[in-house]
Amino acid sequence: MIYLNAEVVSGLGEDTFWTWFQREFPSSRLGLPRKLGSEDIVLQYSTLGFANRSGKSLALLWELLPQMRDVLQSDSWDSRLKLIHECARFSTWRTTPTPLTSPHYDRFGSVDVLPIGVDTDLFKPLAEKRSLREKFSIPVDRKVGIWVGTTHPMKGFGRVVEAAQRDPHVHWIVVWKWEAEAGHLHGGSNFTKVPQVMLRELFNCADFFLSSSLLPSFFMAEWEAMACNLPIHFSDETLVKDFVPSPNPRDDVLRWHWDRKTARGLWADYLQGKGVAW
Amino acid sequence: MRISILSLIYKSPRLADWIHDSVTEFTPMIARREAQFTFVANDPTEECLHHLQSRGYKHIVVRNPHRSDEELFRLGFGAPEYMHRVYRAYNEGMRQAESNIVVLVNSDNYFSPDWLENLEKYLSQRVVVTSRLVEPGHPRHGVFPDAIAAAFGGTVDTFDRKGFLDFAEKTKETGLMVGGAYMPCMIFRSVALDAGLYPEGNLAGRSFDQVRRYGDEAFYDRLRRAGVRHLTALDSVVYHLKEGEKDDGPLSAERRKAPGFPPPVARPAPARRLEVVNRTVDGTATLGVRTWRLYLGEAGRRIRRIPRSPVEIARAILPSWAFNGLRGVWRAMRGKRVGDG
Repeated sequence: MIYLNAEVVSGLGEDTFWTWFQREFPSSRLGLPRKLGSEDIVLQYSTLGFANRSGKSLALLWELLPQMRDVLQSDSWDSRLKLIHECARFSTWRTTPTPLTSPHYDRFGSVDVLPIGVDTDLFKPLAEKRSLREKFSIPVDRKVGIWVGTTHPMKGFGRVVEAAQRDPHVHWIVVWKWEAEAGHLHGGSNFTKVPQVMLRELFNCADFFLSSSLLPSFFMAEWEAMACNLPIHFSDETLVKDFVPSPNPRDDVLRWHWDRKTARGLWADYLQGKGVAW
Repeated sequence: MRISILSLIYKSPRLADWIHDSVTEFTPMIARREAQFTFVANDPTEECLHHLQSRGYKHIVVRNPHRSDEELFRLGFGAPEYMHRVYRAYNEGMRQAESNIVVLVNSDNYFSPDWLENLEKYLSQRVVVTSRLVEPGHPRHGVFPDAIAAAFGGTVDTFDRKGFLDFAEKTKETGLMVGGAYMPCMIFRSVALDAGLYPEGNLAGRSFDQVRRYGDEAFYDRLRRAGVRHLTALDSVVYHLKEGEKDDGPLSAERRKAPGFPPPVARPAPARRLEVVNRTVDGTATLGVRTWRLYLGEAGRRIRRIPRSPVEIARAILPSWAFNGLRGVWRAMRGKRVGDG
């Protein structure tokens, strides 16, 4: 049995790793059981601390707090980092989504890289760019950039504002994750809390995605943009990322095994190798 | 350097390479200079010493006085004679260790990923942590109590590396077990020194050949008396060929007579599995099953047992002979009632 101990399963009603995993592994259950059998495992979200059970556990070290601490030089997240480190230390195994984040945790033991996965059936290139732009009242004859994020400093919204001022010919689509952390870009097309289908359409309205992040890791929205084969432009060209996206970033997603079909196989093989039955 | 890993060696270059390669491969702390691996060359042969030197293996040399059986018996030690030298060497290794944490391993151990990290995470001043041992069994010595019996070869040549590593991945789980095998073990050097280290041999009974208590058991007895609990980390999995240096190569008739490793010792009860049940606000882990609580933290780590049932209270306050006697009477009465019914 696989137990999924999530902090938030789906905060905006979107299809997340958790909802996808439950579909792909139908016998898996949300939550933490009282006891674990010898063939059970808990997939423990790192901010919950360590799974308080004797048995097999896998720490999902997906949070970017260690990177934020390094880049933003702040101790604001130390209490959450403590929980994350506890989770990494006491879990039987550890996983990060890409090799770049592994060194933050290798003092606790070996770290395995497993993809979170992106829905490449949903996020894919669409042919009808002109009609989509008309649908969302986006100029059909201008170069269009898209950015997705929040006002959190790590997202680098200030860099979007700078880019908009630097090149006024570009029209901007700005998608805010939720209202609580939403700003506004004057002159741009601002959207808040959009469903995933609409996000795919907005990606397909654009000519490029602006990655303004201060952190080395790609955000999920960036993976989804790449799955739509949207070229990625970087505000900071010197920032070391997991990889430099090619002119056809969808190929990169597949090459990194981040499509859900491949990801499912990798997860199944991984769990089988740990003696987990489901 | 935080951790010193110590292995005895005396004659086998093959086993020296075997354990050096294994410990280096599965201990990234060595590459990060957080741990170091050191051979304790114990009365080494010239060939063995030359091998350690030529390979650049870090080692210390221990030369032991060779005492007769009679001399050892007068000192309170029993058979076999060579265990006197084995325990002396481990003690000398701990004395000379450069780190505050020492790990003792056997030269016929093979390690698996995270074996060392998963010992250290449970270590405290009040705990000696041992690995979960996997053994193939031995025609003479069987399988050590609390070890997992699984055969992945009995010699360096027949060792099934992939088979063992796959097995280790499937077997390991987060958690602790009370008691277990005695090696590999991790302990604070100061704690081991304060407890008095190993006795320099198996403890003799009425004669030299009659062993009253094996040396490693006696060392753990000393630790227990000092308030240090023996726990096994279920996620630190280590293979034991059970074919030590004595068995590596032709054996002399004299050596064939001597027992190789302390044979399995009957234990009064199977070890109990502990479960992580709570976490304190300062980040220390609280582990336990019902009445057991084990506090792991940098300071003030302690273990306490809170009796809850009448049986547990009786067990806690009565001498074991009185408790066992009462339990026998109670069982007899219960059996009579069942018979009457």
